[in-house]
Amino acid sequence: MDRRTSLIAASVFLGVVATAAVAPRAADEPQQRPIPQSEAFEHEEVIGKLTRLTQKPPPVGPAAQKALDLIKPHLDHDRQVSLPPLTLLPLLAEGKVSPDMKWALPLADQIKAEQAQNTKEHQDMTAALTALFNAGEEANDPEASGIARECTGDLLNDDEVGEPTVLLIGEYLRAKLGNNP
Amino acid sequence: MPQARYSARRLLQVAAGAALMSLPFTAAWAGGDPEAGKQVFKQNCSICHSPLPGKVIVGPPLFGVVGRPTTSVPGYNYSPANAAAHLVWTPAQLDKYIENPQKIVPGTKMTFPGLPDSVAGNAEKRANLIAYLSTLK
Repeated sequence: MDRRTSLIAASVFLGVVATAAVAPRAADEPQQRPIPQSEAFEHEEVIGKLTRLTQKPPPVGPAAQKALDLIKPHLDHDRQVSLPPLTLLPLLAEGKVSPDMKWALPLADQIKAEQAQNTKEHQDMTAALTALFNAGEEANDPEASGIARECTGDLLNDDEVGEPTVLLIGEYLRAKLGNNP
Repeated sequence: MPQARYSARRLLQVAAGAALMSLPFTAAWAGGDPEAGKQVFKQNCSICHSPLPGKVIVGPPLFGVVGRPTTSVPGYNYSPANAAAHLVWTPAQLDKYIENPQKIVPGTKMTFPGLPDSVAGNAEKRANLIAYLSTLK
């Protein structure tokens, strides 16, 4: 190998190393699994309605912005953690369980571990939605009050149905598949 | 018969509530202003609760709440935590609950954060609110 060839080889090697160092590793990124389409639609609706309210003058606009600032990251977290296991429900309802469903176990465990934090976030969101409801009443804006109440109902649905269902899926998978990876 | 025991317990709760209600108001919630309490209700409760009888929104109606046992509104599906609490909503009990719902009924699905004493003026707001709730009958 002459000097010129060696330099080219070294440049290529350094380029590959630099690219590998800069490019994100797939394992480091949160894996975005699918969620039930009905939930995706509902999330888009909630975000869309609140975003529309933020364009309104005070007191509705700022109150909607405050609610949106709390609700959006919460929904993003739901999309990462609490909603993906729900995609297993149709198969589980047919009695189909397979080891490739074990990806849902750590998510269910995370939901369980985060219950206190989740309750706190729901309280904060309820307070913000109550402020939005009151802003709507003050501004004689029944759309704003109605959306605030609707969102409060969605939070209750999370507590009554969503979260217990994910925990149940975790318990069921563990009972059927065991703890081994 | 479980149903009979349940009914007897419920009767005892109602009797205890009625007895407590007959006591003179001497606690922190005594002497509240119902008109001011109506505003507290509007600002904190009305998103989920109706003051009208039989009207369920996100939460149960608060008409007649003072003196009634927990989980006693027909047609409302209470949380297991509330069902197991076996409380009577006396003014004193309501005062504690509204101050910090999760402390009095851990696991309640009511996500209202409460009106804690750590915020100035909240004790008076609770007293006014309870005075207003007492008029809903």
